Amino acid sequence: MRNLIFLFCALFAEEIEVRLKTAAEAKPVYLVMDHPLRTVLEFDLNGGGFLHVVDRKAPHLIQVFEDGNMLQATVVNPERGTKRHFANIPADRKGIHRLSDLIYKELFGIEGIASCRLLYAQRDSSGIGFISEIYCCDSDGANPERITFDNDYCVTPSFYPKSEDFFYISYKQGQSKIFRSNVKSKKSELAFELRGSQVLPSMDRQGVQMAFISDVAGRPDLFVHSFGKSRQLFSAPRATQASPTFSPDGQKIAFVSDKDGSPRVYLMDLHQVRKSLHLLTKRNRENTSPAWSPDGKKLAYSAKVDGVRQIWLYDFETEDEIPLTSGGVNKENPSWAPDSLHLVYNTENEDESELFILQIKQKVPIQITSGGGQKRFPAWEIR
Amino acid sequence: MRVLGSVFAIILLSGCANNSSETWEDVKTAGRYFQREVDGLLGKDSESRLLASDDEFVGPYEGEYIPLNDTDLKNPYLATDMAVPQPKGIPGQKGVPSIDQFYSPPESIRNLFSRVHFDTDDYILRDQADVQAIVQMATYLKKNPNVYLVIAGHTDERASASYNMALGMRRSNYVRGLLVKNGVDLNRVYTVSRGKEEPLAKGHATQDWKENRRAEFKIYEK
Repeated sequence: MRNLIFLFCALFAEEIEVRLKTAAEAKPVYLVMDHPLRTVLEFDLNGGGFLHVVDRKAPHLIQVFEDGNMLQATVVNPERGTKRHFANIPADRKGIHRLSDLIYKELFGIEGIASCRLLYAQRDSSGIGFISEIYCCDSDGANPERITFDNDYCVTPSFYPKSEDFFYISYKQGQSKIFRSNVKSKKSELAFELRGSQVLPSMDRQGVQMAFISDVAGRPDLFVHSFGKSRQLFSAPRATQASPTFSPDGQKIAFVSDKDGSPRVYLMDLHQVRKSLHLLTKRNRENTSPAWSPDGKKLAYSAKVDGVRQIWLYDFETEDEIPLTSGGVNKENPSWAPDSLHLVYNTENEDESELFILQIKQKVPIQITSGGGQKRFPAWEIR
Repeated sequence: MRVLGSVFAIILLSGCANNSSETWEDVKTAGRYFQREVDGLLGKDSESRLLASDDEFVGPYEGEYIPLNDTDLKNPYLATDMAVPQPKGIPGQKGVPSIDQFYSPPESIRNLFSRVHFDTDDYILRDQADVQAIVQMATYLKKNPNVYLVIAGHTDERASASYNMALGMRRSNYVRGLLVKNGVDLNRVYTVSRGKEEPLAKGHATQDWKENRRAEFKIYEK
């Protein structure tokens, strides 16, 4: 009955917007740096969300100069009255990303994400069809490097926690299976044996359990693999399950199911598998690709609103569902940065798919990829 | 209840500027969602971890996985929701053809393996001609026990890529279940899901979506 009343109200309800509390505005910082890599540092500092690089004197000051092949940097923190020196930073993009993270740590005590890498799948035309391979790039989309050579169809990559290893889905054996590989060696092998097809794998932050969807039992059901064994966790009549994501403590899974009609995100407690699922997403009818934040407080997912898929946020504390994006282009597959403040996702606009970074309080999407190929299923490094 | 569902769906969709065939597709979809929601409310779907009855349950081979153990509960939706475990033979091993060895059926029997199509967000074959085609396919496969089959489930572009991977899986497994129900040996039929990744029709109109919501067949004759 409650569902019916809700349905009637939904017909006539006006758009209700719920906003996250915004942080204090980004602090202006005067960057003194005459070097070709200045734009890289500016992007990282601005992208972090707590600083805004200006071209006039400001209380926050960063000076960077080249000394031989290295960079020397000085950071003035007016709030603590300190002046910190960072010596011998390599004068390359990697060094700049590391410097940005050091600056964020110095000024705000938080771990920056500029040094984190991203994985994604890039789809390109090949004759009459497509191939899709996995790529790794910097946090600003630079230095893309192909890391799978299956010459087939590879999708949904993810790093293992705190590791150079990653897992992904490949169709190179005909049916989709989960493979494990390494960013440096690029040698891939089957993650584990299981009949049938597997899709949409996701690992817990401890690196112990891998959840995925498999039809080994005849339906697209939720499974979890740990300690060498796969266990069937959820099945429902006439239902399709998808996209599991673990809570940071590995004790709960949120996943998509259309068991009650359209795809919605449900919560399952792994200690109480036989109990009913808890429905999380109630506002929109079609909800997919959930991702649990590393701090455990929120879920990012894609929800269809007025015919367009947008990135939304579910707040576990308030149970609010909050839109983060707008506009006419479909957006999906959000993935969290280690700071639980930034998301990366891909758009889908007919034949174009690009990656965007979004800081969830400022909500200003920043495109980080362009050019040929459709980039999809981005995943941030896990620290 | 179905009439009420359709009326409700029409009200919901009355503001949409769709053409008539899109509207009808949406009405049918909304009607099915509404029916499932009402079933849920009335408790018909109250126990969501149901497996096939003991007669149908084949189970994991050699302890391959740990199944849900609700075998005491019968599945009232068996007719449209058979859960048929995967074949015992692994493709590419011990005489079983690998998936890339399968090929489009030759001209002489191609009409027996025509594509079948699905409604929006649906995995059940609603067109009686498609159901009949599966029955005829099953007859051929029973008469030719040396023929293996792989069923690829596809979707249109409209839902997300991730959800469509699972929906394609649903579709291919449903068709496999239908073949097994019609007497085909489950150990000769494999499934693949390509989600929305391999569209046949590259356009973005209703007709393109209809063409892409399909199951396709390849065979291998030993």
